[in-house]
Amino acid sequence: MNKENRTIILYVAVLCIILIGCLTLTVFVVPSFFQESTRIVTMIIWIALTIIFIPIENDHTRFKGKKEKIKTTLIIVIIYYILYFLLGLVLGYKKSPYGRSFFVIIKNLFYIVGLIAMQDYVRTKVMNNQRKKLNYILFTFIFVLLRLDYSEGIAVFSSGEKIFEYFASVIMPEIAKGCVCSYLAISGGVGLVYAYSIPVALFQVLSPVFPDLDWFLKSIFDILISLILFLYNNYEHTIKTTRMTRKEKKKINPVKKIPAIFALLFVAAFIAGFLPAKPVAIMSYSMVPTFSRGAVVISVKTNQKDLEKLKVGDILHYKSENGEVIHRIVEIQKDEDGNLLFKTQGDNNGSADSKLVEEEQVIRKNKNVCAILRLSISMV
Amino acid sequence: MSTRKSNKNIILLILLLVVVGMAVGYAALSQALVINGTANITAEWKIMITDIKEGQMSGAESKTSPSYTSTTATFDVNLLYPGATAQYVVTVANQGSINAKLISVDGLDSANKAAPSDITYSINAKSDDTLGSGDTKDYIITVTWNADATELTQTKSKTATITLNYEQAE
Repeated sequence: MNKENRTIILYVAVLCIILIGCLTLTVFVVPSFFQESTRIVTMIIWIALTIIFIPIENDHTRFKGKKEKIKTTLIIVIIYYILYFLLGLVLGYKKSPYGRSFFVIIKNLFYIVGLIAMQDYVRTKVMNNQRKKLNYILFTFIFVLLRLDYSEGIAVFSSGEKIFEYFASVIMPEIAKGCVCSYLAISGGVGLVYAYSIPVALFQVLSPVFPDLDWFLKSIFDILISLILFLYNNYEHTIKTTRMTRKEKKKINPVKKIPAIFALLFVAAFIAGFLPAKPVAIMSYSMVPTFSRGAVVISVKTNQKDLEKLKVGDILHYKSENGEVIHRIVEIQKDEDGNLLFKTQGDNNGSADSKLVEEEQVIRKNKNVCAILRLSISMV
Repeated sequence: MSTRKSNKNIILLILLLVVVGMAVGYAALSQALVINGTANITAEWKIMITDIKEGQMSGAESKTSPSYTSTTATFDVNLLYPGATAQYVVTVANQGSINAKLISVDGLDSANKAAPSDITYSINAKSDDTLGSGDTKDYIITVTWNADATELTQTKSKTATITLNYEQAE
């Protein structure tokens, strides 16, 4: 990197600090005042950064097999979104919060797609002027920080569950996206990064509906696409830059990793509850000594027949106003219409739960089998 | 190598056609799709319930304290005689950076048509009510037992799920 570029990078570092400071101010100091104006300030800073970077030449400007990599990336992104969208046919859809009028769409294209385009342009320029691995990691980390969602503020740290959710649904996907974008920037330049980030941003702004995925599944999908993109682009890059025999090429073909990806999806589906059973973490002491806090139990889905077979002493997994509960049935009643009502109690609680559990609250029946499948994992 | 390149072009073309086909399919079948509420896809979009409290009560008493989560507000009220009313004030806040407007209030008509018809719900929310970034708004939900009701219905309770649908404002 020449001296001029180093000076510019220094200016950029200062601007990034201002940007992070601005975001921090928005969240921790005066949230309501800065919310609207932060958007404009952020845009202005990124426009300034983009203009600063335009004259900077990449240290290595030739990207071997760039067109092929762009096509591969586009194919993966489109297939991903087709599958993602089709999932809604099973899980239902949610309406996009973005307005659909022409003016609003243009505004969103500018604020969302435009911002991402500028961020990735600057990312490419920064990445392609580095030589040390440590610098790649450092700048990838900075870009992850810049894209993170800080809007939850300190509420993220209110409980162990919240911290885990924030880590799994925001930080992990953002790190995966950041890493793959940096890799694409290095191996194919801005065009290759855009082949990934722009269709994703366009989908976010233009799609009228989204599949009704919970945060866990959404983050698995986000991480998965980053992983697949990395595998395929790395393959394209390796066969373009290294002399290899057909056998060697075959050996590193990412198609071979498809079973591992399916295994990952299967695990994700199991954890997310798409299979007849799912793991549930016990978060309180109410079922001690049957289930200690931090234990993971396997909860089995019920149907109407299963519900009718439930008896006193069975363990029930149900939804209450305060979240999901796993307690033992101590009494079974019926309402005027013949619907079952369950009185439940935690094994470690002195009295029964105040509210009766209705049929539709029951998620899964927790048979004694779960005691056998119980894992001793300390989650919290 | 050239065969591989042309294969990719063909795959890309087919996929783009599939996307166009899906867009057309969506436009034609959007009415049949199950759409549950508004997606929380962006950190900039954060409309949430921040409080619920009792308002004016006339011949009514709360069975349990009203409670709320970020997307639901719950109350359980006993109406003591015909003509009794209970009001609950639900505070909705826009904690995102996008201005929002209320596009519809769902569930009120179906709740009011359901038995017992003498118990009705109303809310002072109107379509196109705007909720700017950082703003909060109090909505009053009123439950009324019709004063002209002469007989006590068999069903003594009535549940309503009222949904406020917001969208980005211009």
